[in-house]
Amino acid sequence: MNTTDLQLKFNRLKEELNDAKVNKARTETLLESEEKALKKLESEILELAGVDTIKEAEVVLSGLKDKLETMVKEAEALLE
Amino acid sequence: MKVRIKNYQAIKDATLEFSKGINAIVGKTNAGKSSIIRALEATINNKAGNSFINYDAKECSVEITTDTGDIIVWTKPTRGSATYEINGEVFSKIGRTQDDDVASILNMPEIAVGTNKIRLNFWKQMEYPFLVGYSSGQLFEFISKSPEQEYIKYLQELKLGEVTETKKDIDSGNTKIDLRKTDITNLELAQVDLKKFIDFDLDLLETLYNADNSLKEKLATYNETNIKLSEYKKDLLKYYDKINGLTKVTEELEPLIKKVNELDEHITDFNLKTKRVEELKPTVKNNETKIKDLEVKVGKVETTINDIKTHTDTLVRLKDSMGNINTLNDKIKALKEKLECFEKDIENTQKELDEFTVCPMCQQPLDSSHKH
Repeated sequence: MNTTDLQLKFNRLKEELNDAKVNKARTETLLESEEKALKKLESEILELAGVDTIKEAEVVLSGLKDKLETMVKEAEALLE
Repeated sequence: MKVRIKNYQAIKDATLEFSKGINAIVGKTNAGKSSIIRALEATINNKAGNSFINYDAKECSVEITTDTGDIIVWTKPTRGSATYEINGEVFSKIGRTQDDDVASILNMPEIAVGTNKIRLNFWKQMEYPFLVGYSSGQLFEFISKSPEQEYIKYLQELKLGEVTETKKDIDSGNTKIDLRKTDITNLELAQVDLKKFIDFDLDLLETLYNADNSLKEKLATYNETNIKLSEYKKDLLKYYDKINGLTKVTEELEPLIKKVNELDEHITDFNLKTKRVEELKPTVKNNETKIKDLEVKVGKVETTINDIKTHTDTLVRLKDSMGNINTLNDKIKALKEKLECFEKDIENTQKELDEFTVCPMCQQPLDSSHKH
């Protein structure tokens, strides 16, 4: 490899390294933001479901569905 | 003067009465007017011939009775000579000339003028009177032959005066004729009217008379009735006034009556409704209890619905949030994968760069102080 080719390769590698660093930094910022949003949403769900974990919240959601169906049936029976 | 004509031309037997002065003979064509004149002339002048005798008679005769009482009868048979009978005395063989006695009684003599004999009293139809129609030459010739010119002149003047008077008389007579014609026309009309009554039925007349009386009675009754009717009419007019007044009052009352009727209808309707309300009261009470029950139920349903709404809201929010969590987890996972890729790229690129011990551009060692 001659000098010019080396120079070109060196410069390209340096640019690629720099670009990768910049992209890494951006992705990290974005990831941090998304994780914050996720945490906020999780805390809302936990608060809404009145539980401590998302798994528990899923259980609450399933129970809520059943409860709603029962209530609708009850209301229909009353109206009849 | 009276004249009786027998069997002269068309006249079988006719008697005419003439008055003093002018007499006019009026009649239709062929009625025999000229025959009368010719019969008189034949009698006065003893006319010759027999052609004037009526075709189915053996003789004709004319009898003249004057105002002085003289009677002259001239008889002319179809064969033989004529005879005169004057005041009962018969004269035959009288020849064919005028008889002097007859001319004297009737004062109608022929006048000798030269060798001619002039008849001053009779002329033919449509002829002028004596000397009037003569031309001046004829007159001169006639007068020059006359030995009695002075007398002729006197006669001429006399006759001219008579002609004037005669014309006046004719005019007067024509006026009288016109008047008589008018009278005749009126009489004919009256006759036509009278003819209607000629065949009049007396029974019918009596019936009509009775009917007339009956009509008179009825007319009297009618008049009385008419008077009564007038009084009734007055009364009627008064009643009409009253009726008009009442009509006005009725018209004014009409809206009020209408309103009263409407009120009646309302009252009836109100009573019906009140009755219906009374009937419905138990049902209403029952319904009120039901309503209360229903209200309780509705309250419960409303509570349930609200709960359902709340729970549904929570459920929806939870569902959405769970969905969002999954999405976010997927995103985070992808970002982390990306980050790992970038770290690997950096690591690989750094390894390649670490192979360079010196800078290919300046050939200086690549330490921390190296810069371009």
